Amino acid sequence: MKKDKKKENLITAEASAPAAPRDKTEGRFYRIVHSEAFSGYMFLLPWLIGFCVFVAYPIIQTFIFSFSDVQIRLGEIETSFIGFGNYAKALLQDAKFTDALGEYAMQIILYVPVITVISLILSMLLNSKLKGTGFFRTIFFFPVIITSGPVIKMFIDQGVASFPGIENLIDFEKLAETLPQFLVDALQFLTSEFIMILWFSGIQILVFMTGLQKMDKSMYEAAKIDGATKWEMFWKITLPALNPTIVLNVVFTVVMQSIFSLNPIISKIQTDMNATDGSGGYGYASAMAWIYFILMLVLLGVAVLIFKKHEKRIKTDRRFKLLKRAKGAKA
Amino acid sequence: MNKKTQPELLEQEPVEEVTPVTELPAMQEAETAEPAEASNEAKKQNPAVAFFKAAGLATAAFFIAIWTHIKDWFYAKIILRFKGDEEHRSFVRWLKDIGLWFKKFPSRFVAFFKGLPAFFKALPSKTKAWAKSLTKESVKSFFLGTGEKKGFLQCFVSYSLLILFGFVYVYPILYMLGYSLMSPSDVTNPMVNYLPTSLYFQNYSEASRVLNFWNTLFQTIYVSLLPSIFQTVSCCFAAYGLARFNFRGKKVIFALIIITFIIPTQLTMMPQLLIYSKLKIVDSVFTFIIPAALGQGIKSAVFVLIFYQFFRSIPDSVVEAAKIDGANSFQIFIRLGLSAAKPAILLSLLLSVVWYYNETVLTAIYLGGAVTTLPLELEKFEATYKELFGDVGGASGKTVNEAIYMAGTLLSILPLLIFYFFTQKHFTEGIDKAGITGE
Repeated sequence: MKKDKKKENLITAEASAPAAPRDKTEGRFYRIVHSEAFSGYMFLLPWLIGFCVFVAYPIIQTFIFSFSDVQIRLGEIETSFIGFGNYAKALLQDAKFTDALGEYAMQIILYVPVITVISLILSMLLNSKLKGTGFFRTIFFFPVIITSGPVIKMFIDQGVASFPGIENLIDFEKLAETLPQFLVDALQFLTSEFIMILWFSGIQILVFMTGLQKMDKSMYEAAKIDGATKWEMFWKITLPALNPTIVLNVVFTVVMQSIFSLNPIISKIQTDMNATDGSGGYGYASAMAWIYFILMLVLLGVAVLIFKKHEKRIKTDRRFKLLKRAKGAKA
Repeated sequence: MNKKTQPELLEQEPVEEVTPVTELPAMQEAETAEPAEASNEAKKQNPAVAFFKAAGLATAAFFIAIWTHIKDWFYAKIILRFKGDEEHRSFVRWLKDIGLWFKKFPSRFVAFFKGLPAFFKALPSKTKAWAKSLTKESVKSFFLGTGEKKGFLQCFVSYSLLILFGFVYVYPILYMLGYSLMSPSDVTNPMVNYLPTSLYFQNYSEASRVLNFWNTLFQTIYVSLLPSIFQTVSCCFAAYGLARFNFRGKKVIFALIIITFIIPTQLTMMPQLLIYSKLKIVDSVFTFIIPAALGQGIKSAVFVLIFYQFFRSIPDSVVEAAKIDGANSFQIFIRLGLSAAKPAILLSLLLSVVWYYNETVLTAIYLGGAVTTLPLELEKFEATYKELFGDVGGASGKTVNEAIYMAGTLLSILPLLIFYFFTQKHFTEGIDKAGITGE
């Protein structure tokens, strides 16, 4: 396919060539400069330079840093190779770091499903043809504008991150007798920061809404003719069709939570980065950043896998059966 | 209509130019405000001032350039909403309507009471007629809806859910607003919960002193606006290259863009800081501008993908026609691409302003203490408060109470809320149009 396209381009280039004076079009340089690929690369050039300087080079550098002891004296960087020392220290000795990792993983595991489900519900509510949905859309999006680390931290500190009575409604001590501790912890966490979790779902709601609007409406009509209820339609048409959007939202949620400045690991890395008393330094901070990145990738992979698998199972039997039946009904 | 409005447009331009210049004195004040610091510090910060000046001029030029491109559109979209024309109901007309309603109110009031006896006389017969017309089907369709039309029950459930969630979303802000107006005695009084007994604005004046509000606000706008302009331009370019040209390695570049989205900043932060210190631009806005101009700002990947969608939607035939007319690809980009991507340009400008405004980790590291932003000031609110109002004279010292803290938080997000109030339509509709789903 690609080669064909290129041939076509060549043909069009040749066809348009006679319009220009001949002596200009003949040179090899002219042909390169006026090729499609060249213009494409020219448009991408700033981005590519930026990628090399501000992403590729720093990543390699932190990778080297993470295996070495980094000392900065008078602006000169001295690195000495120490193998896996930094990694061992971070994972085996630094209890603060492992705690932060656990907290982060827990946060992601709790946030992702809650945000996905709630934003799906809200987007479906907003997508129904009701008056005044624009107003509610404005409200649901506004937290995106104001969420910054200090503001959210203040909300949590002042106890506004959740409704005041909610802790008294659930008796956690009684629950702890029957349920395992980590479940109770998770529940406590959810109730204490419930509004803040909602606040993080602004963009996801809008993304779901565009996904819902793009959906093929003939499928619903066909299902209606077959006598499917709305509940069935949601599970068998809406959800499978939305699956790419769900995966996108899950990835988005994980990434946004990972770069949010209230994340316990980020502050840990930041403080250790500037520590001069030998406990931290750039080498150690780099190692922590790499461990953090790998954990994040693992979580991302697991989340995507969970949501993707669901798609396959439904797609192969339910959705296609429905489609076939719909076609039969129309014929 | 157009003739009237044209001079106003011309007036608007100098205003845009002036804004960066007004920021400069504010910056200098911030630096001169601490003469007690060593003179070395002052010397060190002089180049920063020069940078700010140059950058300010650059912004002014940039504004004029961008303004000439988007002014018609800006006028049509934003100003008309307030001034009104045939299509848009104007704010002024709306006010007039309210005035008219109040003017007519007395006569209507009288007419209402005059009409009441007749109404009550007719009521029994009317209700009977209504009850007769009720059938099982009509009641059912009223509650459950028929076909496309929504029934009462569905509407009720949807609206109550929406209102419930809407309230939950706004609750922290409302709570904060109420709490921030409480006087110290209200704060300590356990009987006063949500609403203060009297409006106490002292909290706001104290909080704005602690935040050094106007000065910090100008710096924040400066730090968030400049990089976002550069970021928008660079992402526009990259996305156009990806969307409109065929070349080898396109998929690789896509993969790289997604990688830049996923990688946490902590992974690239330290070497970047070393690069900046080698370039001697630490503590200046350039630490934000340069990566943004090269397409590596905060969440640039999102913007590249948004622009990509818009550029893809330009029909090929239009581009071909432009090519035959002799336009080169850069001209096509400027004329066709940018006009197709206008909503995306606005959306990415708005979103990146917001994201730069709210960024605290990178701002703290790259900008050091030279430039502060409102969220950063909020982070050290308590410490600054103690410095300002702390117990110098022993008993006269105050401690931060929650109300003042709340007032500070509200002040720090107030500019964003105002900003959102005017631009919310473009945020939500832009994302709608961008359609970042599934691709």
